[in-house]
Amino acid sequence: MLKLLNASFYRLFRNKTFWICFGISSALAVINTVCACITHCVGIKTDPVNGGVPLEMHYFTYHYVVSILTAVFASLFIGSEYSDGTVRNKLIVGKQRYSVYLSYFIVVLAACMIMAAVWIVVGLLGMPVMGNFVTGVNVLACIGIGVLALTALCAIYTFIGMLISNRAVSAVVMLLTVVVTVIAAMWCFAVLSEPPEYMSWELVNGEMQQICIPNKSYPTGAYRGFLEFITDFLSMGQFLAVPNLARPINMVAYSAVITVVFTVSGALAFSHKHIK
Amino acid sequence: MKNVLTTDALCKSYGSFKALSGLTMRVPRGSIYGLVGRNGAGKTTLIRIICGLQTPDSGEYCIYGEKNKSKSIMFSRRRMGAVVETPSVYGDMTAYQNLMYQAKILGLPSYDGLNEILELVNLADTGKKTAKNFSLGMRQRLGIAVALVGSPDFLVLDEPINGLDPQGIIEVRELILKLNRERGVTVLVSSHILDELSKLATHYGFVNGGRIIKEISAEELAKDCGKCVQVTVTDVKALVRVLESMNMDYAVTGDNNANIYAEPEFSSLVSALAEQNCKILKMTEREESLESYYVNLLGGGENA
Repeated sequence: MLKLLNASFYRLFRNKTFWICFGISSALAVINTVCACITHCVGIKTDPVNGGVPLEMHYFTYHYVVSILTAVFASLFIGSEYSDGTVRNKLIVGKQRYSVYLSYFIVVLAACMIMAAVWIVVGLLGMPVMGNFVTGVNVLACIGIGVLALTALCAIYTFIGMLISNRAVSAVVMLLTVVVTVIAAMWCFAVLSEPPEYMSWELVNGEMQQICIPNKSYPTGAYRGFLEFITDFLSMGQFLAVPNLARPINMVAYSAVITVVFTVSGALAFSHKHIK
Repeated sequence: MKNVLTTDALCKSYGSFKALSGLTMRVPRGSIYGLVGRNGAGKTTLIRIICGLQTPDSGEYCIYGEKNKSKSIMFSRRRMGAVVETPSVYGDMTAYQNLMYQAKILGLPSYDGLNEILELVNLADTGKKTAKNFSLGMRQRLGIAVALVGSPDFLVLDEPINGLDPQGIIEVRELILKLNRERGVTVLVSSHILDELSKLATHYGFVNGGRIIKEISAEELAKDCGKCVQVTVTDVKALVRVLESMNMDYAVTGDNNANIYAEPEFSSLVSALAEQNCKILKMTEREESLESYYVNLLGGGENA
């Protein structure tokens, strides 16, 4: 296993796709931080008390970018193992299939973490301009949950990449996974964000009075529970919920379950896969 | 250990198609075993199975005495190298980097031998050129080089000369012969180009319909193919006396003609005949080609 990892990291740091994704991640991190700083400064000039942009507003936006870049990287990195036929070289010399699978998972995870780390570090460079985190959010917990959610995504990407031999198909499936889960998570989050009631004006005895009207779109009961489960379960939903940390234990548990289930089932499926 | 690879009634089906139907074979240690068969005979399926890329539906095989279901077979596989169908190389890496990668997989303590391998396959001068810019012949040789990392004792080559130009074919052939003669590497090479195999193989396995029709050594094949030297002489009785004294197999085919089923030292033969006042008028080497032998074999198999 260590030998496989040694070889895989040797290839990782010579892989053009990785460095391109790393470059894009770094560039976007810098652009994001610079834009946030500019917005903060402009806001302060307009409203010195409330016009500033809190650091946490922009700091946890790296998840989506990193998850998309990791999907692109994983599909090409693992896909080329099949298109070049090099996965055979490992099996021919007696490497066990679960070791080969795990080595790919670890390398994809490492690449993802490197891209995320760049963003985390660059984001902190905005602190001298925007100040510290102001909402009292537990930053380490947010980063930890984000990392676990990215780990779960890497497990899914490895599962897809290792079981679909066609590089183009696996890239499409991975990106579709990202798109579908983003849409699903955003929709659930939007519905959950509906207020329980909204203010309206009504004419009472000749006077306009403000009244509270129950919001029919506000989810309750089992439906609310279902939406919360989807938001907490999907990594994309966790990215949306991270700054609020509403149900951190659930998020950690779901990420762990997804990681274990996809890794174990993927390794088992790969062990029976016919390699051409 | 007499045999490097033995298979016992291997069967493999893909859906309703039977790729292997009870294939049994033996690859002797130190041999160049030529696996001969037409397209779809089961050669590549067999190679994929023994390389661990696929599992047989039934039957078993042993590599260096270890059965395929044994956990210890991974140690036997460590002594193998293979090129299955197409060379497995990273297009975005140089030749040296590809070998380095394989060396890291194997956990070699030193990378000193990698340049030697590149010299062996004539790729030492490729420098920073990445494999995707190699010609087909270069990629083929790089694939063999990757298979040679770790100094395997058993090399499996699946149609290694496909798509190569004549120069490339010669180079691959010379390489295989060199590995076998100088390093004692056992080679299993599959091909449907019989002419090339006949210049290489010490043993043959003829595959058809997913089964081995016949296994034979090159010497036995030479006898079966009726390889002989046809001579026309002035005195066939003198020729018979000389051949008897040299303990050579022969058959008189006419008043002045005979077939010699051996490889005589011609200068000695001519001198001995000259002492008997016998002149050699004509001498030709004749043999049934591997191609005709193969066609006759398959024709017999289909009609059985």
